[in-house]
Amino acid sequence: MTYDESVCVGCRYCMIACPFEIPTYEYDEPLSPRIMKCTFCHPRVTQGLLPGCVEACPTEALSFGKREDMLHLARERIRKYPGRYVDHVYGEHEMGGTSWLYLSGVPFRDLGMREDLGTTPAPELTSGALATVPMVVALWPVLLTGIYAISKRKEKISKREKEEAIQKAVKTALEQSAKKS
Amino acid sequence: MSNLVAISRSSLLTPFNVVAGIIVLLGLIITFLRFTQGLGAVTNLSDYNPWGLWIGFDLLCGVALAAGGYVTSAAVYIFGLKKYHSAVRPAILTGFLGYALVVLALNYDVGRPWRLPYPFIIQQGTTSVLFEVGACVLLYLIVLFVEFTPSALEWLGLKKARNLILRLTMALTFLGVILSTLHQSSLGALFLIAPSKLHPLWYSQYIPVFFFVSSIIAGLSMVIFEGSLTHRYFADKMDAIHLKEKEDVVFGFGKAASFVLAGYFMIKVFGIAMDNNWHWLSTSWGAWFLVELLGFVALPSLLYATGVREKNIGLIKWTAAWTVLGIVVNRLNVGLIAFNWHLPASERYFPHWMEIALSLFVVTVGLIVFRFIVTHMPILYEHPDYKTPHA
Repeated sequence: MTYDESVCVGCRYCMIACPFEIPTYEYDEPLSPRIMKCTFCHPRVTQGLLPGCVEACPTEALSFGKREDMLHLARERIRKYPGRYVDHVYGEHEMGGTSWLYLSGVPFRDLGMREDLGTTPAPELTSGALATVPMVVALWPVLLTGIYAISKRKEKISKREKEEAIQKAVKTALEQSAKKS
Repeated sequence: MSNLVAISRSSLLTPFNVVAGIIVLLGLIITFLRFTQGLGAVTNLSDYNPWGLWIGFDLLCGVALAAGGYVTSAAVYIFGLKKYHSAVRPAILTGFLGYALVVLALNYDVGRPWRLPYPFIIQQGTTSVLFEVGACVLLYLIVLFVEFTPSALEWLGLKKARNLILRLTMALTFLGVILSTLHQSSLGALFLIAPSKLHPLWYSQYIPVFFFVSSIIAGLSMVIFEGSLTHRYFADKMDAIHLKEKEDVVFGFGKAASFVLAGYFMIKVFGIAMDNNWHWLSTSWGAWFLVELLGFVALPSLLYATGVREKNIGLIKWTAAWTVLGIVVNRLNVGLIAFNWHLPASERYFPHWMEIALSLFVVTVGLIVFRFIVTHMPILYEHPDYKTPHA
């Protein structure tokens, strides 16, 4: 994933949303703070180079490639050395699957990596709420107009009843006074 | 001459003015620090805690407590409860000031505030809840501004413009209710994206509904709470109609708040049942949750009902203040206290004193503007040139 600094407002909702707490923020930049996160060295990759960390790692602990190939590689390693790895590729399904994939010899929880995240991608968590927006926009005016119409009508009826009551009272009063005279 | 100076000086040096002056001065210093040294210098925000008091209090509480505008205008213009008409203008004014202050506070919190319009003009992130919040808050701020202008236009004596805008009342009220429904709920929906960070007792599929329904409670309670304050400090500005209708407003809104609180209590319980979170109630987080649910939802519902039945205005007013506090507790729980509950204590957030001071500054600016407007414009009384017939 890349980050376009030129449109970032700096709201930091991405940091709220990230369950892995990856994005960081330049809190000491007063006017041009940026979000910082790994982009797999995107500029290098577009030049056909490896990400810096992969190229620099002296023990080749890091591999870079297409996600499918990496998954294949990971499963292959677990199969070959079942005693060396926990039988889980972290990131394959977590929060819908991530671009970073991890193998570990100790439980991931011991490394401070959460195992309770589930497999739902983050955008799906809010898509339902966003989907109700057009429903509210379409139906609220209908509902509110209905309520408005009812309250208007009640007002009209009570006004008419009041007028009728007054007319009736005036009429009886007139009749009575006519009788008297 | 020296006598005159002494008089004007003593009338300026009221306790309110002195305290407000100090806070404003402090706020200006913090403003300078924020925009010269960054958020790091004035806040305790961190990469674990990207949102602090300015979001948890200024934004979440600010928007909820400014709900009186849409609640009152809907009650009067849509539900036809005309006897509360005198409550509309003060409620619209606080709503407008509330939202304006929310936007003011946001300018400190976001990294590049001049880019706040970017989501509308440069690039839309329509899949983000925050886009929805931003769009609705911006539109609603405009709506509230237009709804407020008749008071200012009457003050300025611009009769034609004032009458023109009054014709828009119904359209603006509809828009206000729709936009408020959307962004009040969306503020809750923001947290749907972080089930791994918000404590399960507060995280729920229903959180947008919780936020919307509690905003109605906040709106109703704020109208009562604020009404009692304005009555205390600006009674000389209130005309006979306002004074006469004031009790109706207290009883009517108190009754409504009692009902909505009861409904809110039910949906909060359903939220627990839906996710089968009962076992969390026996933890210390559960105890804190029960304080909120029983102390700030169930209790005020009962107290409002008692106050209305026994015609006890004092009780209703205190309950309104308590309920407003409860809304603040809820929003701080969701935004700060129960958020990141999984982090070790050393990584938890507590606001820097300058964050608290700036929040106070924002509230103080609101109070100063509010005082200026109610002492100059026809908010608490009807302008003699524009009397409306009352039912």
